[in-house]
Amino acid sequence: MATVSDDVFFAGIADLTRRLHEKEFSAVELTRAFCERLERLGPRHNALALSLRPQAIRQAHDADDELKRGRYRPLQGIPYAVKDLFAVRGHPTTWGAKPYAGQVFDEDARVVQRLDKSGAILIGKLAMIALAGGGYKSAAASLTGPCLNPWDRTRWAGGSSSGSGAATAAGLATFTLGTETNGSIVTPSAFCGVTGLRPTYGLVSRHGVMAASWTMDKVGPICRSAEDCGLVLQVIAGSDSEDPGSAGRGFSYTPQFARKPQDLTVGYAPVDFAEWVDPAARPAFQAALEAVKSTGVKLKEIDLPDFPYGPVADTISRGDRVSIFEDFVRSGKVDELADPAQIAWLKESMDLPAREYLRAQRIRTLIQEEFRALFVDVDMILAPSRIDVAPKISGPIDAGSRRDPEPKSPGIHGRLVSAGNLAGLPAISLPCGFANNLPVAISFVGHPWTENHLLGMGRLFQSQTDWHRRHPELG
Amino acid sequence: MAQMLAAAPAVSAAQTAPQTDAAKLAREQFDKNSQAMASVKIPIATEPPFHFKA
Repeated sequence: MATVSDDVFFAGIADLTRRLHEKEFSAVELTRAFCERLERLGPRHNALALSLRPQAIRQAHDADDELKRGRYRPLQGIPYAVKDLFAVRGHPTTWGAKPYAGQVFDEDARVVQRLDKSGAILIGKLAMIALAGGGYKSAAASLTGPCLNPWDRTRWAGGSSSGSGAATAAGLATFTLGTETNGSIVTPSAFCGVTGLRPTYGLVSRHGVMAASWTMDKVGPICRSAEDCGLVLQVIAGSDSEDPGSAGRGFSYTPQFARKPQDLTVGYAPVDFAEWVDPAARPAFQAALEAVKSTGVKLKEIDLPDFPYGPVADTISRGDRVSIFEDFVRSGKVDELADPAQIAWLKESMDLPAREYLRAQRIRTLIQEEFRALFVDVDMILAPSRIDVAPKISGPIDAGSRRDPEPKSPGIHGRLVSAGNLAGLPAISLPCGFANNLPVAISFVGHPWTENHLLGMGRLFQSQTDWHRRHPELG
Repeated sequence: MAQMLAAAPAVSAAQTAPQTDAAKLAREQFDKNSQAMASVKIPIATEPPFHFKA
């Protein structure tokens, strides 16, 4: 039996694929090694919802049989894990909430089906904020407790795709899937120092995925690199008649055809990098800005159109969630959630007036129009993914986001996540350094269907930096 | 019996206090959201971005 060395846990997809093809180890050996690590380190970080070892080993045997016959598939033998809101046939899908702990579906989510066809091996389901968030104030708003950051277990991994960020960072899976309604891929990716891609709304099917907001939910990969995000996105993207939000588009990962950096104009707000970010993180962010400049892109100072993005996103999220979970709230099961703030948010949302929800949606139309105009002047928008490092699990999750004195200009960082999600825009979060031994990250946001440009920029940035190759020492 | 009845609401109130505070905070946040959105001028022809397919 071949030995699987520890470096496989932090290897990229292409590297593992090559080593599987060269028979350095088999898919079964690789899968066993990852399952053992997931089962050992996952609970230590409150990151594991469910190990799927038996079915994973069976899948790995199939992968080895195919490799022996010379049949190669895109992600053959690559171990991955999913946030526990993706249905996996015959296994519990808890949505991170105690009242749903016994829920079992009889069909795999569409993206799980697509990854299965690509030969990827599903090894487990990962912790998440209950019901993918909405009004929660504590890292403990989860069935599995606060998900601990692999870089510092006194810190939060971010949410709501908490386990997806932590598992990728800790080398518990080669890649993971998360979802984002309003920051749930970008935030854990940034806090955990991994690369996360939020696709354009409608590019990836949500069939078999818990709904939080029909018009804002997106499924995306959390990986070691932009390269891996492209390889995974190519598999999971595509039209689906069973997802009413599906745009009927596919995606081919073609970074070789991405526009040259010299042809790109990137909008940003200097104040974000100079004054808004955590003072301890400023050297890292300034260095990241220099690295972006050195690619040859033109940087242009911009401001975002003036809209109350946060309130609009919160209102739409309230309306959709409380409609989706109306029976759950009325039944009183809502009281079994872990976070009192989330319980109150859901209950109080029952009184949201229809005209207010529609007002938010109509403002959203204006936001989309203004962003279309903004993207005439710039090709991408750049901002810190988060201006702070991961918060302590013992305090409120928004602790530290204020500045005293507050900079005179608001910058764009605080509005870009909600704005991007309201307009359905794709984004990529790239690790860009450390502050107090915790990761920080930048995000590029593009106009719809420009994933290849974002991935190309990510690859370029990661060819000049090595932050995405760093990983915590976990034993 | 009287003592039991008197004690019951006190226990209940203690249990619901955090949720009452949370409810108040949620309502305050919703009011702020509402005020922020009220300041946006929306042209009368602006439709919400729903996509109904017949």
